[in-house]
Amino acid sequence: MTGLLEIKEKLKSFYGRYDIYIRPLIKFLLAVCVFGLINGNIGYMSKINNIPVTLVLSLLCSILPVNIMILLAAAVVLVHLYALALEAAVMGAALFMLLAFMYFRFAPKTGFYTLLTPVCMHFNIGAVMPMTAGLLGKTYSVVSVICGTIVWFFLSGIKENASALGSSGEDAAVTSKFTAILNQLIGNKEMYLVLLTFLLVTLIVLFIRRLSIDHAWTVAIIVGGLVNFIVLFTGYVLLGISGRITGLVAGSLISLAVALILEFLFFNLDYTRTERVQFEDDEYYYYVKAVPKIYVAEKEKRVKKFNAKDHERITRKQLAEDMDIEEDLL
Amino acid sequence: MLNEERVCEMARMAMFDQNEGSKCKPMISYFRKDYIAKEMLKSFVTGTLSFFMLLALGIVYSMEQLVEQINSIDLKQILIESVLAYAVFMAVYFLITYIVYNIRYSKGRQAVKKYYLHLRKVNKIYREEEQA
Repeated sequence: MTGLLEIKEKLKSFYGRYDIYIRPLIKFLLAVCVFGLINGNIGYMSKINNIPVTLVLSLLCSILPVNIMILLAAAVVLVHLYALALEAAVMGAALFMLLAFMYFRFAPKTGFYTLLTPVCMHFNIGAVMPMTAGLLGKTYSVVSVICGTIVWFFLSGIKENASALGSSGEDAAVTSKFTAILNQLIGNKEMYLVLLTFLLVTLIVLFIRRLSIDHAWTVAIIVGGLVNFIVLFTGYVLLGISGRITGLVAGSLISLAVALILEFLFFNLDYTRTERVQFEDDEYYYYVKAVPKIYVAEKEKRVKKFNAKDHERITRKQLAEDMDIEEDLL
Repeated sequence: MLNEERVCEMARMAMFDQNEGSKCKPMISYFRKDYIAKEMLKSFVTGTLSFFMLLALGIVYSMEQLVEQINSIDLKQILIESVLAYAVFMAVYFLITYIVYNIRYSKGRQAVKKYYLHLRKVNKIYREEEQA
């Protein structure tokens, strides 16, 4: 256990010192993952479905804020959908705009949950996201996980119906394509089941995490993982969706492990960053590097004495006189 | 000679400028009412766009039904219902806007107050330096 704590402290100081390199690297890797997945699954536009473009976009994302990565990812998705069918691109644009207007206008900081949810869903560890939102986020972060889930089901629906949507025959009327895309999204019972599960898991994890009990984070993760498994399992059986149980068991176990790693990395740990700032006064230019101090929390010691003999006893009468009230009131 | 205390205060101010500073600018230049009114105006545009997009999606989704019942549709009824739905949608959207931006304004003002404290300290140190 002490070894683990030491690793934790080392990680923290390492991050504090080298965050200027670590953050772009993490963003770059995330961007490679996101653009790689988009190209691998719905890469219908061959001009941007290649490694150089992915790398250039990822490099750009590594130095730009996360929200720009979301915008770029949305743009790449729309370009691919346009190459498949104009109707798909229009529907995609409408969905993204609705998400932007109805949620991200109010909570722009939680965008990365939306970006990460489809990535985790692709690797069958979707449960990680509601648990992460519950552990690290605020109550409204659940909406961004829900937005990400809707985007994932929308894109996987497009992928499944790609051949039908891509056909340019006269029999495929414009409205029927729109209706087909909307149908596979609105009529998808599995999507509602997953949305409900994620909502439940996030709220339960958030609630338990805030309780003042021992090991609140660990309890929250385990209960969240169990709720996720039970609700999804029951839902799949009731809806008659077959072939998901093995994936669900494996996915739940991996999600649990990932959530426990997150607990290790983020519980009670403040990743304060090294700040680099520039300013000037009349005489000098200042290039300041402010490195955060690392405090080792010492256990607070309290000494209580239960020795009444040494104390002066105050009588009721004296107390009443002190407080300027009648003795009977005490 | 460098005044370390002043440099420290100035560094803190520069950090604020770099991180939250730009977001807090509207909180300095607008009164609460004006700030919220500005956001409400933006919300009117985005909310109206969202509503009409949702309406369009709904129409496309039920296009087949609409075409079948084209002769028996009560246009007046549909129009009234749409206007009512728009009013309810916008009322909820405005309420969320009001709550979110009210909280944001309060938080921003608090951050700016802290900034002013540092600024005052720097001014004080400057004055002391001049006198010395």
